[in-house]
Amino acid sequence: MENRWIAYLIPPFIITLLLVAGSQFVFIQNSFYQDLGLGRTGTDLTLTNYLKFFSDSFYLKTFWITIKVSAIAALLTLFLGFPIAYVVARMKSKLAMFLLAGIVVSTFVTIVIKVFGLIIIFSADGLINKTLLNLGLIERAYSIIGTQEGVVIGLMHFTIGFSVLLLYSVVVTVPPSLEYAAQIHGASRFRVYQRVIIPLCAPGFVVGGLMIFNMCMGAFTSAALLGGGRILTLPVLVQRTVMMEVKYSTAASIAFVLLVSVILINLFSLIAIRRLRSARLVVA
Amino acid sequence: MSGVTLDKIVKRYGPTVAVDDISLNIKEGEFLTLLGPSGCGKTTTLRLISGFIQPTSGAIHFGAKDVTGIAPQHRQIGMVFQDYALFPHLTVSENISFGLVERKYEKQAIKERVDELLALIKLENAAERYPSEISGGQAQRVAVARAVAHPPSVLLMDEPLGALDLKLRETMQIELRRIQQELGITAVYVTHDQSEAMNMSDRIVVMNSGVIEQIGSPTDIYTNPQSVFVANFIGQVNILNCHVVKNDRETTELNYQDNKILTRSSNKLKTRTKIYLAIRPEDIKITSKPPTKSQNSLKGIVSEALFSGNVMKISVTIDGGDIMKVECPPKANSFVSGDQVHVNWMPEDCKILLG
Repeated sequence: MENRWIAYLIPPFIITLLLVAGSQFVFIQNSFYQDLGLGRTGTDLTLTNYLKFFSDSFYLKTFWITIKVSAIAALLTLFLGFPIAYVVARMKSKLAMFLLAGIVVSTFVTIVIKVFGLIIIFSADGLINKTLLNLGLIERAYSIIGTQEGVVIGLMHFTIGFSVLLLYSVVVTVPPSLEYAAQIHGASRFRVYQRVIIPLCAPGFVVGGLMIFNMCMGAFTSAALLGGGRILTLPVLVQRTVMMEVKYSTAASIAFVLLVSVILINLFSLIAIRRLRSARLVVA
Repeated sequence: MSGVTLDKIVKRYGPTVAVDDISLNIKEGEFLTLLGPSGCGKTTTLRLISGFIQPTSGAIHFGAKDVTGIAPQHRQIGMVFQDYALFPHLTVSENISFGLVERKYEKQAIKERVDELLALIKLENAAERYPSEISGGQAQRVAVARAVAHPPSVLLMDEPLGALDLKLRETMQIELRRIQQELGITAVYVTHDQSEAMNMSDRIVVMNSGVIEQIGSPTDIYTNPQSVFVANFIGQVNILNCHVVKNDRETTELNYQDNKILTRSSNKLKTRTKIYLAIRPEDIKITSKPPTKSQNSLKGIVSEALFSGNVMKISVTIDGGDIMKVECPPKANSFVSGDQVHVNWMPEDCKILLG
């Protein structure tokens, strides 16, 4: 019986393999040939594109900015998402379900619409600038477009919903009775977080943080719109190299560097966590 | 260590009253059990003592100190939870020392106290294990040790044995009682299991829909229930609806469906007052011939006879239609269903209840 059903899975598997892995393979394969511009490539296998990437300060700077804004956005999103997740997870009323549903729905709203919302409230005569100007906290309107802070805000906006959902699923695994037990045996609210909730949620922070980091590393729309052409991240750079410069192999090499670096960062983080865990410094 | 006094405690949740004007005086070193069906307010009462919830009105004292409104972490209590609530990321000894660390004990003092408690709960060998690596019974003992590490004013236990199987539960009852006695701690225990309450407590508080039905020692509650609810909740009981015929100094004569029933005179009841008569199944004897005059006796037919090892459980449908449960030694009683029998009991073995 089982084998018969597995047979039905073979055609979709082959189609997926061709469309996803196949196209990726062709694209990446391209990166090992010299870029002759306008989509043409050389005939000899070479690492020229990669050598160029790692020797050109422009590429290296873009690479560094991508990692930096992603890491900052991931950390801030975790910090921002945890209190929300905690409150929703500990709610006893049905309101919790409505809030979660709201988060899910808003997470799946097209990022373009969400970013335009951000751009409007952060614009020169937008809500935030006007408020700050009226309060006398700033002297002239401040634009987030084309700044690293802007990109970080955009990435956080993009990932906050995921982070709340992720952390919610972590917090609900910590029974409230553990908090009562800690409190009743002398721990203040702060100590309850410090000694019980945070250690028990730590694996969730690591996994959630990495996931959000990965999303940020690959985020295109928010980075492109808020970077405003002045702040480039690798995904934006790949798009430009393909669409505007028509340099396929160069773009492929950048994309491959991005892919491999994300995999390596995740791998090293998980290995580091495992080391810590075996030393019982982190719980799991 | 101190006694606990609840003074006219009321707890309302919107229109529902969870605890309705309870006053209770728990003596120092006493093992007191709050017993009742689910929703009777026993857990709410415990949570009020713990400080997790605050009473709508009334006051709580630990000894002479008014603790109403004080947060749980400042009440000096220990608590054992139904799901143990051990910290999964801490070892057994770290769990036990949790409250000591929070109360800033010296390192050496913590170590000594933890060793002492590990010996008390007989888990010296499991000190470095994690809660996931010990059994349910062991986890429960660790939870108790954690609760008493920093000597609490009062030890609160919320159905701590509910998750254990029957055999282990009986062992743990004795164990908990031993630990409580050894430390001389005031303990408040919540359970819906009447045999657990009987086995462990100095006094039992029977609760029903937010009020106290009766307070007394296990023997007192069992032999001298004050209401039909208490009689029914603690052990098995037969209840007959009777009315008073005549009342003199020694005995009260009752009428149960035109059968004369005698009982010890306890209340000054007017004739024709409707009352409930409670008789425990183990106080009833079954005979095939009518008994001597001094006993109360009703005629009936055996409707069911169950052999359950140490006891024979016989149901007799008496002529009035009520069913009486009887428990007797299996050897002397070989009745089968359909047998015409007499159920008999002594006047001093039945009790008049008014409601």
